[in-house]
Amino acid sequence: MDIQDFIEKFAEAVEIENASGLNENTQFQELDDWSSLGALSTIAMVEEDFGIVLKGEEIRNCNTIGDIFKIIQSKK
Amino acid sequence: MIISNKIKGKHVALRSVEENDAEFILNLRLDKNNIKFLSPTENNLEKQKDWIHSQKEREGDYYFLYEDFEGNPQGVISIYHIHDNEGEIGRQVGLLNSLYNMEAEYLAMKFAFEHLNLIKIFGTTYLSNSNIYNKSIKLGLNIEKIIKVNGIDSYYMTLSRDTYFNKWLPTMEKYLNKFSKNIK
Repeated sequence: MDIQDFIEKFAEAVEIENASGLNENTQFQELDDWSSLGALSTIAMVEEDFGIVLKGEEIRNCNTIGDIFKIIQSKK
Repeated sequence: MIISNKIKGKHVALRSVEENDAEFILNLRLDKNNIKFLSPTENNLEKQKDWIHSQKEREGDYYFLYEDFEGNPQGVISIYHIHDNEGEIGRQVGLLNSLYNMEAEYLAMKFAFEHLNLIKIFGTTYLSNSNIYNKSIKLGLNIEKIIKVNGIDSYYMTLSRDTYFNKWLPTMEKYLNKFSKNIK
């Protein structure tokens, strides 16, 4: 899975209405749709699609969507 | 006010706060990640214990500690300022387990609407707390007005009984179920 695929899955998990403007540099915690519900959904999606367990703290420490993707890559 | 039994969920249980929880609560409230969104708290363990002692006697004020099934404390949450069948949800602060924090909120809200049979819940959050604001909107809370809390502009949000059953509860259960099946 490349970063673009991940962005699409992220947008679906977080239920972002307009995902066309997202890219790896998007600061997701600044998005209007972002909340702890989005964090939960992201953790669930990563577990389901990648078999990798992300901690809430790891997401909290990320700035961009690309940062989350890098953590996933590092845990593979 | 205190409850004698625990309110059990799938991952955490709520119980009434006791004086010997004071150190855990104080550490949580003074944590640098939490302090910016909470009312000011004095770093004084004895005062915290005294406050809990008086809270336990106060009518219309439930203060819960939530713990995992090994008995490890994970956070606190409250239903308080109860009068005329309305009450406030708040004082929530927890460790960094998103599932536990969310299930605690779920259990507290069920207690308010399904045990106390309240007709409306209200809450406030600073305008700077976009996480809580965004979550509240997704869960159906109504932003009624902007008020000052501790001198800081804050959203005043309400949740009616109807909206609780028709929107808040099913949405929250959807998220909890989605997450729960992935951590087992």
